[in-house]
Amino acid sequence: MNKGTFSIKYKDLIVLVLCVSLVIVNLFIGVTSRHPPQKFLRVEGTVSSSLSNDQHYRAYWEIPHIKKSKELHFYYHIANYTDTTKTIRVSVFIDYQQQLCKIGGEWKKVHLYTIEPGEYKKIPITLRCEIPGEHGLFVWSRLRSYEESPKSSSNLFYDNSSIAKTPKVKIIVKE
Amino acid sequence: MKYKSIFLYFIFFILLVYTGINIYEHQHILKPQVLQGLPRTSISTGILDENGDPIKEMPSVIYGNSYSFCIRLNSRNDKSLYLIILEDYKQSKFSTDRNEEKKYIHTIDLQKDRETRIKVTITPTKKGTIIIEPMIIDIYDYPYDPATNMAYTAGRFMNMTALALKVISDE
Repeated sequence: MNKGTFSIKYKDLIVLVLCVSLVIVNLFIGVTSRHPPQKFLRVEGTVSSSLSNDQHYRAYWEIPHIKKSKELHFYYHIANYTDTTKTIRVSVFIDYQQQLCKIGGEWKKVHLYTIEPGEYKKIPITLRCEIPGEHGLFVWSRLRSYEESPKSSSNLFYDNSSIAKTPKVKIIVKE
Repeated sequence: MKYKSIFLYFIFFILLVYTGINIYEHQHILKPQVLQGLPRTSISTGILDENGDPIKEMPSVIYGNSYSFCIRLNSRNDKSLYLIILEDYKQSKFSTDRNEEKKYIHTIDLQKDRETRIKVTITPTKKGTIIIEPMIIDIYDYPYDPATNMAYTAGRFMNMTALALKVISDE
């Protein structure tokens, strides 16, 4: 009897260990295969950004079909979830090439913004694309200010700067 | 005791099914979208001078002249990457020892477990101390999510140490 009871307990223990192992396996799969955030998510300690055609949406992009040389208008949403003020340099890239874009009435390749902790900004951007076809567009913000460090011979090299990139969105330019 | 065992077996069965589904999704759904093709490219630190030696003090160049430096890259697999150069945050045209045409973007082919050195030549467009920042972009084509029309990432950017360069007047 005692032997039988022990045998059942032993089996139960094995099953229990297997259950725990499966839970660990599932947790591991969950961590390694988790979808990256497709949407504009609040992640503490980060600067998060996304694009939209409409100022009311934050993470949906209706593929615009624009004519060559016509202006494309869209919104860049950026939020500072860190506890420090960030100086950001906003640039628009089409097919990995930095573009002249209009923000606040000024056409430039790099636009400077300051974003306070907890602040959310919705920046209207205008640009033109001259090359017909399908292109990938994203907005890229540099978070580090080189000017914060003196440019002297002791500062020959600068550390990697952090960047906040939006997802890449599709645009179609027609003749 | 018997009921406990049955309950335990039931939990085990549920977990087994759940794990099976999870593994299937991981293999067939998530991996091709997000994980497959992620590069395992490592980049060694620093930028070297045009001869491949370490740079010990801030280099200088006369305005209008070209400046060359070397980028050292290592990859754990055969890989094609984009190389762009930022000059004080602005993308600038440059040439390499493989392609003398001045372009904004150069494609770099890396070979598995072999060090690649690329000589980059830029012509600074402004005077004073400028920051030269090479940036490597993994050109794996991330798929667009049909629900949002967005590709999760614009590419995998790997920026290297930025280099300060003094551009001086001819006088």
